[in-house]
Amino acid sequence: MNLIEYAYLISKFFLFLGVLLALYRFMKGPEPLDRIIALDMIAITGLGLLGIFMIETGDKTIIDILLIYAILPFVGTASLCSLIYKKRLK
Amino acid sequence: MKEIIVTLFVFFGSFFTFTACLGMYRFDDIFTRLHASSNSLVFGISTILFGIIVHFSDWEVSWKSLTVIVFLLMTAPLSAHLVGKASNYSK
Repeated sequence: MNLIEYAYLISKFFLFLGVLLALYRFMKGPEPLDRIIALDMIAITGLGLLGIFMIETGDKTIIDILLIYAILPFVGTASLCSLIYKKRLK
Repeated sequence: MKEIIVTLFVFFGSFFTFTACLGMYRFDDIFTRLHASSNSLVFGISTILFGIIVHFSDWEVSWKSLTVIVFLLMTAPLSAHLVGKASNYSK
């Protein structure tokens, strides 16, 4: 194997390990807000993993998926946070 | 030469993203976790997207990648502000 392919493999392993660490925080967060942040982090780390896959295969159409996938976790985070904020304000 | 620059961008970006997830795992307060989730995650993903821009050298891919970076830079402080505001009223 080439050195560049080793570098891509190590990068993908880093992102995979990061998803696992955020998944631990998603399972065992003491508050619901910790779980919300962990879910946001899992989605954005998956965006980076998809970007590395796009560089390796050379497929240009994945950039549209990245464009949608950048806005989508923010909607869930904003709606759940405003729901919790309204619930705690009472 | 271009391949080496792209590989360096991707490697450092994935390393910073891993650092952000490690901070998510190890910190013990919600505000410090918010700091890890808001700052270094956006820096890492932006570095990977700059690697995509250098690798393809195409106009369409470039402006779409810059749009993704602008979306991340807009939504990450906003979601951090919302989480902090909701966490201020915890029981």
